[in-house]
Amino acid sequence: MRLFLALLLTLAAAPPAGPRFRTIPVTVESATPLAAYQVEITTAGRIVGVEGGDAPFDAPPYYDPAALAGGRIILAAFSTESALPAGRHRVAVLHVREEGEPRTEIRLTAAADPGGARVEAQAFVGRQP
Amino acid sequence: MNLFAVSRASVSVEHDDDLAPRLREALGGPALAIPPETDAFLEDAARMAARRLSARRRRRVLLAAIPAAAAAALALFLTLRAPRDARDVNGDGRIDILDAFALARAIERGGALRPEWDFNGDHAIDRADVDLCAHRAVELRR
Repeated sequence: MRLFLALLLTLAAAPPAGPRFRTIPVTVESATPLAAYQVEITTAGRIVGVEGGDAPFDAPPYYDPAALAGGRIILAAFSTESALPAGRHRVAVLHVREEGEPRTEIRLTAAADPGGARVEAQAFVGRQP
Repeated sequence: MNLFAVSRASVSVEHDDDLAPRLREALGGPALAIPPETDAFLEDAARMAARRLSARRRRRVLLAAIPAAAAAALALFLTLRAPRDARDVNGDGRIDILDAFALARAIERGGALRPEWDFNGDHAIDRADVDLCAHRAVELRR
């Protein structure tokens, strides 16, 4: 009886083996106020949704809807507002359906200051690099 | 007479130990006096020959450089004349979100707008053209 109960508890505590959904914050860090960014993300899972991040990038970024069928996406957005964030800023959120080991890579392809000049910046998934 | 003969195929070299003293004797006679005019003349002739040679070399280099310079000029001309993608609004040779941003800024500031930025062909350059430009930047199949 004890053995049976232990087996039941073990099975109940085991994580589900099926697919799981994960939200991935996309963060850009720039020393100068960030007015525009473009990133390319590849993930082992399947991208199922895209959301905006924090203001002024709170609207969903531009992306190709065809990306929702796969694991690669290009996100981009800009803002012509005067109040622009410098430092670390969440610019978007990805929703991903994963089955295996979670693996996501990100590459920043463009970032600009309010004047439209290209600037050096870093992009990473999650709030911390 | 000490004679060495090295024979390889049809070549044969002979070494005569007595040759050097004899040569020394022949050359060691009274010094030949060369008049200064002849010396100066020979020096001038040598200098002119050297100058002519370097001028010829310069001309040859110049002749070789002309086609190379012409090819470079043609390549530059063709590059400048090549039709630029109208969506490269900021003219940096890349189509990305910075082009849409540049267009949005130009529209907001009321700056000069180029007719080729009317991407949707509705005879107005507005936010719809900015969106088209941005969508092009994020297309996966480019």
